[in-house]
Amino acid sequence: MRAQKRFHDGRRVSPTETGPTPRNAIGRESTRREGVILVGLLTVFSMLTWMALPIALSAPAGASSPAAVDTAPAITQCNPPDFPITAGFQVTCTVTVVNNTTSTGATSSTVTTSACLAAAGVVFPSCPLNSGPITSTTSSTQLVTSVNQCNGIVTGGGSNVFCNVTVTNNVPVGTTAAPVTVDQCIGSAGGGGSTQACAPSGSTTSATVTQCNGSVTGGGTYASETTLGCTVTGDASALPVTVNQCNGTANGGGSAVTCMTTMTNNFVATTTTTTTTTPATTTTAPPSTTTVPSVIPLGAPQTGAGGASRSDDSVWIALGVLALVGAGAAMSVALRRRRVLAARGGFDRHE
Amino acid sequence: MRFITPPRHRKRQSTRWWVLAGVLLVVAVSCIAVGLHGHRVSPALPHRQEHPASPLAAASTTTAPPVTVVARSTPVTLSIPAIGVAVAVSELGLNPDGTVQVPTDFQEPGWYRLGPSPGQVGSAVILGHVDSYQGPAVFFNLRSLTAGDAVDVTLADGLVAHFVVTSVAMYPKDQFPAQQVYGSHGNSQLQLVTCGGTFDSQTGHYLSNIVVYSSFVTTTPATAQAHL
Repeated sequence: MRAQKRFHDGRRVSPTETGPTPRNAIGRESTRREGVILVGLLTVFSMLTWMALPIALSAPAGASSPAAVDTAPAITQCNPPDFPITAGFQVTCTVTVVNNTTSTGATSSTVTTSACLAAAGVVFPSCPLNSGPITSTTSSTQLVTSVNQCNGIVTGGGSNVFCNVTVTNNVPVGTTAAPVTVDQCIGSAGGGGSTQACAPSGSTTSATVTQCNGSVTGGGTYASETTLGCTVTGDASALPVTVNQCNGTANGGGSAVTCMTTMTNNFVATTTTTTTTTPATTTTAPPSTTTVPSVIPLGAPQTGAGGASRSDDSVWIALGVLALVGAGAAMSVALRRRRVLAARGGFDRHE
Repeated sequence: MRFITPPRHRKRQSTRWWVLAGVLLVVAVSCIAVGLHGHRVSPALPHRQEHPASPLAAASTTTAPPVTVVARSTPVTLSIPAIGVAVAVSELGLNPDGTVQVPTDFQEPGWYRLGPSPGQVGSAVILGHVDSYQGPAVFFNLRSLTAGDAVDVTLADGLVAHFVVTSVAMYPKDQFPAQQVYGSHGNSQLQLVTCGGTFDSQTGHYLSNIVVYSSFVTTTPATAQAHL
């Protein structure tokens, strides 16, 4: 009877089904349970592996690991899970990138990072919560192409986030630089009492700098400081480097976010070496004859407001037409009077 | 009761109507003339091809301009005697979306500072408004420049960079040749840019840009610049 119950618990049996003996049913049920447990264990293992993979991939590139050189093109730090998503923290993270290219096409980069985690209000460089500031300087033969930091952290409220990225591109004279486009401070600092200072404003899709979007939405402010202060300095970048920082960060109430990006280009004059038989000399080409690079703007300039084209031409013409009609009417009256005068022989009688 | 109007008085009344008609006729002609003149000054290129294949190609038939040795120096004034322009020059950069800034003052052009300064190798660019909301602005007559006209730029270091117009072109905004206007062509050039063509009252913008291409000639000390 127990076996029958179990059997009925595990399967739907039609009234006509005879089914196995109770002993066989118990054995098959046990086997099935083991299979389910095995599948469950495999699923949990897969999930753990899946969760661990992005964590491993998002390890700070500029950290102390010697393998950091291999990951130079993308710099990532101060993001979860290395940095907390809870409340009451002081985060100070900086990334300094120096990219170099030569006229021969050789590339190199140097990255200096600093990461500091403390309780809210504890001023940098005191970083007891990560025994920092954790700093590192790494070099690579590759150019850094992206920096990603301070995203989606300390969302629990009452936190301060300070994150800076400085990119310096040393390139040969003649390198064409691209405009630095900006997407920042969109959907941020919308809570009550929030203040915002962002410059320049911009919402360009796939921008060079994407920062401070969807952050500090909890409202309030800390010690009357600006809730959200974000700046981008530098109009152009001679090498393609994107910055993504301070997005979806510090969304709890009473938090503040200050993030800055600076892009600088140094156009290095090309040197040519001329060797003659006697004596051997090395000369440098005069820089004045080299082409000065230009950052090519996007689109066409809007240099007109239409005042000359849409001046009150139509009004003048309308007035002219009115005056023309009036002149016609006056002429018609004058002609009629003259005809009447002629018809009556110079006298007009009224009663 | 019967009374009689003297013929002289009646004739005077008729004459008044004739005078009124004449005055109204003059007013009508004047108003219509002013209105039509306003339409005629629409900033387009009146007698040129609107989309030249390559304005620079025409210039290349002349002697190649000399390679300059002018050091970078901020332009402070712009003089175009042919159209009576002699104005101060401001500086322009880029907007956050990567487009070029335009001058805030309708009567003052701006130098694009992320390119060469006038006289350096490359294409220096000065942008100005063709008109304001009220009427013509500093570059309203830019379209009337012709090859050979002089363009002079006084630099902050005390030199005047002299250029000569090589060609004038008009491009639809969606076909604006940014690389040709801002990019280097191996010599020292100055491009003057403004709006032109048809004004789209829906968007509040002109549909085209006018570009005046000029090539560097020489420099002189600012004191020798008579017309500034």
